[in-house]
Amino acid sequence: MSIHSETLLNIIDEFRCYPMLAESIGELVNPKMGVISSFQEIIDSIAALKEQDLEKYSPF
Amino acid sequence: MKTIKDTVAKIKYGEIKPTELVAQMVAEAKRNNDNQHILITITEERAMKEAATAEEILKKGGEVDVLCGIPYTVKDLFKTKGIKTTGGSKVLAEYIPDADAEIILRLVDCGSVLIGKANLHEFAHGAIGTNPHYGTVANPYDSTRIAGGSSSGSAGAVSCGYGLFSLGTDTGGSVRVPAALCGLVGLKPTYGLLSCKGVIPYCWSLDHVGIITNTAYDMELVMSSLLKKHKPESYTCVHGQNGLSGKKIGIPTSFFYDNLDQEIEATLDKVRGNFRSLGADIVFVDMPELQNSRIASLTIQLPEVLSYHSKYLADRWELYSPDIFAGMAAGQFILAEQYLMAKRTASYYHDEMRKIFESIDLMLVPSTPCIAPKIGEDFVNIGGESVPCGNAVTKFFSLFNMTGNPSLTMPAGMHSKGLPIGFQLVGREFGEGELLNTAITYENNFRFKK
Repeated sequence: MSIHSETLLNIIDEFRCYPMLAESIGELVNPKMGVISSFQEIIDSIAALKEQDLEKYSPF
Repeated sequence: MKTIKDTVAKIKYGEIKPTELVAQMVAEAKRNNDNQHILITITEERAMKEAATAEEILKKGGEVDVLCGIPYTVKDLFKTKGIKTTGGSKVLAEYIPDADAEIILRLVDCGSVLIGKANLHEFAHGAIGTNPHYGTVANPYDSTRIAGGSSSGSAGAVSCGYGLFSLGTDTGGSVRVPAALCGLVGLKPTYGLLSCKGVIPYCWSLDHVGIITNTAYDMELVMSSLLKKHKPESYTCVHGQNGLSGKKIGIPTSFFYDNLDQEIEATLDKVRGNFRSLGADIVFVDMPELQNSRIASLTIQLPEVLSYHSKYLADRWELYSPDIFAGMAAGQFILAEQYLMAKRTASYYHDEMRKIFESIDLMLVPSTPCIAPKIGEDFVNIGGESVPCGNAVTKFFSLFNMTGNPSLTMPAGMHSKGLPIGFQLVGREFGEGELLNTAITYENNFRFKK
């Protein structure tokens, strides 16, 4: 299941984030410019970051 | 192709004066720039003044910097006193700084001549180099293809001879991508070695000032001048050696050689053979798991770019183009935990790279997995997978912005489609001297001819 533009716009509205162009949100949902991956892909990939075992590396 | 090396000799022996050289370059740029979109601003007035000053210095004689009288351009992210600095955006279309960036001041000390502010992907957000406000720079080898970005104008300027070197910025490959796609030499030095002070940031954790030149030899001349007062102890360069006997060059066993264009893979095999023929030991090295390297880089970039631009978003938000806006929109949804996880991942890569460099001197990897995509082409096929062009061309570069290692791309050969193929040499931190010596030695023996 992938995220819809309306969901992102609602979150932006709810959290008092910066105003965003609907066109830019569209680019996040269905990228066409070849510059950025879809929001869904970013979120899925970030989830993979959490799977890494960084325990042996000190955060300091 | 004009080089710094040849031009320095011509100036020295009176074959050309800096004012003549600069006037020629400025005239050429003014004639063609409307179609090429390489320069956002041609700094003619400042250029002629600086060229005249350089001539006076040269006339006096004594100890003169090698870059005295040498023309160059800078990406329009570098602040320039009294000259528009747009960041490639309408947001800063009228912004005129009151001081030069620190690194430009260094070049003023050298007597170099700034002839223009180069085009870029808006605020450096993107490796394709498309710019809806100031035009898109085409590849000098094929005008239907991109020059690459974000320092697209810098590569275009060096290719067309508008200056003999250009300063750019590199957060995930933005100097090395256009250098590689345009058959040039691009260097991202060790993190922090060249000052970013006075450069509009994109992502300060990963931003590096970098340089584009025609040759590795020229690159060393520029680096030596820029580092004159603050050269690391480890920096010694003798402009190439007879061979590379005993030099250990590491080839990663994973990630960098997966899903390459076949001709690029064959060219890299040839490069490896060339290094071997110079006496280098080719050794295979295991890399850490790198599948997450791009997302780790992106997770650091997106909140940082949003953070810097927050001051403009309040009242100029409608002036950004949709691609950078999309990046900043995504940045709003990245949690502090995720940002910190990405920073820890970057530290992990840094530590692992240090360990790898205990057993090798340099690393050899491809520059890009594909040749320059066509203008307007948004996705490229890499190993059967459709990948956004921006992700594809930065794939092998962005890791070294997180680890901080110096990384240099140089031309390796030509693809059957008539476009350059590059290879990347990576050095240990502050190992620019060794990196450039090796690159010059390679260039002296296997020079790529345009």
